Amino acid sequence: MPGRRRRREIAVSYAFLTPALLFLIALLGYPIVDTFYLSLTKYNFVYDDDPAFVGSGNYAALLDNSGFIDAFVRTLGFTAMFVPLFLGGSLLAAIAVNAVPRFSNLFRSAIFLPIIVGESVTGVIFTWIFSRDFGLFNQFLGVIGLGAWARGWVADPRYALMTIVAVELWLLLGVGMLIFLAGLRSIPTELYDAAAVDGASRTQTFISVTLPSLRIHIVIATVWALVQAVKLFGVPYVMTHGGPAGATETLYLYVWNAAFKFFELGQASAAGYVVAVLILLLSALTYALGRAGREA
Amino acid sequence: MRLTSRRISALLAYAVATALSVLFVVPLAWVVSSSFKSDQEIYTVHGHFLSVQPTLAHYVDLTSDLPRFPDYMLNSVIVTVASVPAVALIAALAGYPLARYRFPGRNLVFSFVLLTVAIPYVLYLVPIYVIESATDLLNTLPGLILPYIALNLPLAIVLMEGSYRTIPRDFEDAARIDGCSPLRAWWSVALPLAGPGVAAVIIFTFVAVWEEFMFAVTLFGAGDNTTFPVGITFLQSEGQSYAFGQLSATIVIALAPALGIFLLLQRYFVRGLLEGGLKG
Repeated sequence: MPGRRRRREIAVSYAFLTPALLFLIALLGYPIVDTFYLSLTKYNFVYDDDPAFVGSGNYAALLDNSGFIDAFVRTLGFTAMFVPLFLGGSLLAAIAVNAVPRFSNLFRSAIFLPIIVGESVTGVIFTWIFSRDFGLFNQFLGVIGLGAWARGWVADPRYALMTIVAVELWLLLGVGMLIFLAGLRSIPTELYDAAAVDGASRTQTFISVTLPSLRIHIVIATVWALVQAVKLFGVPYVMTHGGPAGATETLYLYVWNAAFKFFELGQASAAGYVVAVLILLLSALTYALGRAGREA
Repeated sequence: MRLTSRRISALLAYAVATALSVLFVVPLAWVVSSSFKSDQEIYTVHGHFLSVQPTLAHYVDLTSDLPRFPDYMLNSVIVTVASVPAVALIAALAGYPLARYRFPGRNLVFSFVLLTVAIPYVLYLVPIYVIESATDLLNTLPGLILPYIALNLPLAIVLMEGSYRTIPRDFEDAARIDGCSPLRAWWSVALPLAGPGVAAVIIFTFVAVWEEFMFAVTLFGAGDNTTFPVGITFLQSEGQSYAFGQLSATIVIALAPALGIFLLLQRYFVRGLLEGGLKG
């Protein structure tokens, strides 16, 4: 009889899973495999009838492709600016929101609010805010006496990427704050009492109690920020289309342009795979570091 | 001594929290305030945050000035209403055996789900575009709804699996002994107890779908008919680029429902964020 019950359990399990498996296999599993196959072919969607197999040619070509290399370096630059500011800013926000005796929820909601705005509307709003003539930011600079600094912030290649860092911080910082808030609230108060009894200063307490207790939350926030940085797409697409002079063409924009502007699906797929592997490696590495740190 | 130090901490916390809150709210407040300004005021009066002469003109003239705005909103609503419940139902079904039963292939299925949580969307886009081009699904509503369901399933399944695991299985066992079918035990016992998980799935999927840009602009962005996140960029770019008052009113109307739903369900969003992050 146990055999029959077990067979029934298996049948029931797959019955529950069938709708999900149909979607996962057809629209995620198949594309994962097909993108890999396409990455080994030359396939211009407009000119070629069928993909022509070229082996690893597309991957080798990426190494010589200055557009791709530039996008790669630019994405690294964006990541190097964005991730530390994101971690520091969201930790600061979480500590402040956690420490206020009243109105904590109000502050939390205010900082979290941009989440519902989304990347394209954010891009539209900040195109305007950072515009040269009618933008709020330049008006504000004028009011505080720094009118000479006013400029078209995303029109200037030197400032465009930095401006997008600022916009992405506005859009995403709330998520980091929530991750750290949950962490701060899970630290037992006894730890702080013990530190106070030992006569630890506020800085000492922060370094020896708060930060170590937040290890897993720091790992989660770092992975999340890294992935968001590599996936940067909507805000630069809307604000600059990758310009001016390619100053904000990120990896994601490069892949998208290769596929849907130039219809070079083979090359785009190879570049897409490089980006996907990069994201998976970054996530795995950060988790491994977090785990190793905990065991040490 | 202790009291003063505590008071200084509180003051410092208020200062930082207020400064950050202002920084995060001002851009949106600026949009709301501009939606009540006449075009003339926007271009000539500088240095006034609030309108000198408030007007409702941009709201009243919205559909005549931007005749396609209602279509964008309607498309966004249809896509959201079709995909969010589908994701919730399919994930609620799939998470159940993953949490409750041991069956061959269980680990393979769950590993694949975890992998797809981490894989970036861009990897799926090219083949989906090719398929939809061949089947004439490009620039149709189902052509966007189907990928949205698939893209949001992995995280939803992870959240539901975790949610069922927090419920003791005694209730379902009792129901099964009383002669309930597995489907019945799931629907009337396990699913109601997993309510917070379902709420997390709904709010996550809602936010993701309502804002989604890359798939929408690729699969459903040609011509006049698209969703709001793509349509708003058309309104901005085609000769409308200086109609900021009109743009502001549009943004306010489009964000209002999202804000309402979000405030209602935000605590589940936090929960889902942490569970998804801790697992993935």
